[in-house]
Amino acid sequence: MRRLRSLLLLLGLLLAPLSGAWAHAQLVESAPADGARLDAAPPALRLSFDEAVTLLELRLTGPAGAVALAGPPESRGADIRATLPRDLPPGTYFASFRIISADGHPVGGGLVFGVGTVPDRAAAPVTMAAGWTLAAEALRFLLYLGFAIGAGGALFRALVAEPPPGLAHGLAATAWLGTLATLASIGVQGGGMLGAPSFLALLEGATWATATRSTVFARALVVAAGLAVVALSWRARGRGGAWAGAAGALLAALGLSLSGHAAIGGGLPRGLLVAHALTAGFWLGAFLPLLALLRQQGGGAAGAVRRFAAIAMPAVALLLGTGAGQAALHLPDVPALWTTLYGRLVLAKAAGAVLLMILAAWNHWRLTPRLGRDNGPHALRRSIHAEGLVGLAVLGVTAVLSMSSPHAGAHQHGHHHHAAAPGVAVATEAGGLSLLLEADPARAGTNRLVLHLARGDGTPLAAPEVWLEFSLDEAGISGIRRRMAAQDPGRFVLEGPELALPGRWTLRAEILVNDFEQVTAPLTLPVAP
Amino acid sequence: MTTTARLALALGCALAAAPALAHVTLDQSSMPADSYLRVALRVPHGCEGAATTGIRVQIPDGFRNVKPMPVAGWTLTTVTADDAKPAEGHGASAPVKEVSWQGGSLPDNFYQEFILRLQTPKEPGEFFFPVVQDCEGGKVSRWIERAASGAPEPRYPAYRVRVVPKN
Repeated sequence: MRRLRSLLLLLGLLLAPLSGAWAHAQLVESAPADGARLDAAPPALRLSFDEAVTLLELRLTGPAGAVALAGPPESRGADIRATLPRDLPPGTYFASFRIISADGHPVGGGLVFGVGTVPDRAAAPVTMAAGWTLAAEALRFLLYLGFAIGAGGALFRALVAEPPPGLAHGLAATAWLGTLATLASIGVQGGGMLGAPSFLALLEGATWATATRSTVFARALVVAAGLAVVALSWRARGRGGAWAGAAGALLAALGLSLSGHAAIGGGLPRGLLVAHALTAGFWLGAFLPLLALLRQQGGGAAGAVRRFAAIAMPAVALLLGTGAGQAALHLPDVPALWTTLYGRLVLAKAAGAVLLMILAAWNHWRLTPRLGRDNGPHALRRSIHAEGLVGLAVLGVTAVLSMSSPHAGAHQHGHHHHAAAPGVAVATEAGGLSLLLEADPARAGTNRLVLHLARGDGTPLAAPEVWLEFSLDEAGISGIRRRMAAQDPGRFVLEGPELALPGRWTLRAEILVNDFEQVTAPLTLPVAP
Repeated sequence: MTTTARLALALGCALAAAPALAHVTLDQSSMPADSYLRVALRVPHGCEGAATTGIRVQIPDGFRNVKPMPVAGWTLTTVTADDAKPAEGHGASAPVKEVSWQGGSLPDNFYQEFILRLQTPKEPGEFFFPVVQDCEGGKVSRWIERAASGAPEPRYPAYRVRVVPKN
């Protein structure tokens, strides 16, 4: 027996280099076909390769997890046949295989097919998804408020004048409010990513842990740290405290650029966002200190008002310039300004900014020169009150704007800031490219995946081919490859049932940069039940 | 050790030592620095069963004086460093960056080698020779994935060459 086996092995050794076409075996045909949707459960699964193969493993995963085959798979040359259990329940099925081809290379692959009508599980919890979105927008508003009043007040202190001590407590409290809102947004992000059925999910650690996989997490930590520095800086007297506050404001502004579209674009969009946030904070944050100084010192505050105006003029120009620059970067074309929700919000913001400018010009040219007269300070205060209200409205629009996404309805196509909920966005960098993958709704079932691809300098990359390979290790699913369809330059879309199970999916993006260059990048995408 | 175990070991070693014959490869993975060499590009099969109709190879930076060997039935062209101008005459002209054999038909079950003469870089290092294999029916196999050494072998690896110090 041993001699026979030795002989066979020797024979195999001699014949091995002569047999086959030296190719990795390729799957040439299957029944059901990859991506097929069947009315009834198929009796068997058949895989045909382009050469003889040895089957190492064949796993079938269904809507309820692993599916036991009705018997061991039969392997006949280049064909493999596995009998399936009768009456498979409707759902999406994954077949994942590993084979050895003639050259001894193990090769893995997989295919997906659907049986019957799959219940649209994404439809049920929409009301709660809207709840997470609303909560995220409300927290975003509090964050902007904390940034504008807290960090903006700190900038005023560093660049214009020391606000009255009574106001300092209020400004510090607002910065703390922004810090807390920012930290709370981490849990809300996690709740939205998981599609949790109620806000009670905020009490569970897993909700917060989920959010660490999103780009929102790093932003929230840095922004919260920056606002905490701002809040603490009010305890230090003198110039040291003032400059510490300004440093905290800068840190918070840098943190704001770590997520959203600015995060994948590289230096230019990030720089625009930081400059926009700092100038907006300086302008809006000056209202309260100016009011307090006018109330306390009346005409004596004229010096501070003039110092503010001297900085505010170039700051507002920078604010408008960076705002327009961001809109130009993120909107695909001019009509998108009125055809998309994002564009309409940009217009609303611009209208608010123009109103603010008119009020500011009135203050500067009419009311500031009259500060010396009896009712001068009173008139200026009233006008600054009005400015503050318009500023709050602009902040509210900004909170919705930075979260607006296709889920909001009016949006048809093109760029948008990615949503914190209910979709999920994951970002990575590889080979000098930055990738942002948005999954909607990132729940088990049919999903729409959008990949934004940009070079290091932020320009979109119109790659000739982009493929995604899906695998879910915990369920034994691997090797599902799909080509993404190119839409606008740098924007690739794939809509399908591949993400049929909840869990931590690995999506390996293969980006053909040119004929001879390919970049691969793994992305981890959490999919909610 | 039993004969079986010894034979199994021998088989294992043979498989481990064998070059990745399943891929489009060069016939040498280690080259002496600053030397003239004859290198063969080995095409063992088509693209998923389809016959090969074109082979394009990119020459990595540092390799000089590239001269490809014509193959009967295939149109040979080169792309030089200064744009898509075909190289002519003596090897001292603009360096060849890309060599292309097009218009042939190599069935899936036949084997062909495409020959290059080249001069290796002066300094040792690691280089990749990415190859694009065009096939009938618009099929393409791109042997262009550059894997870090030690990483699992990609699906379509670019051939890795180590240039070693000249003796």
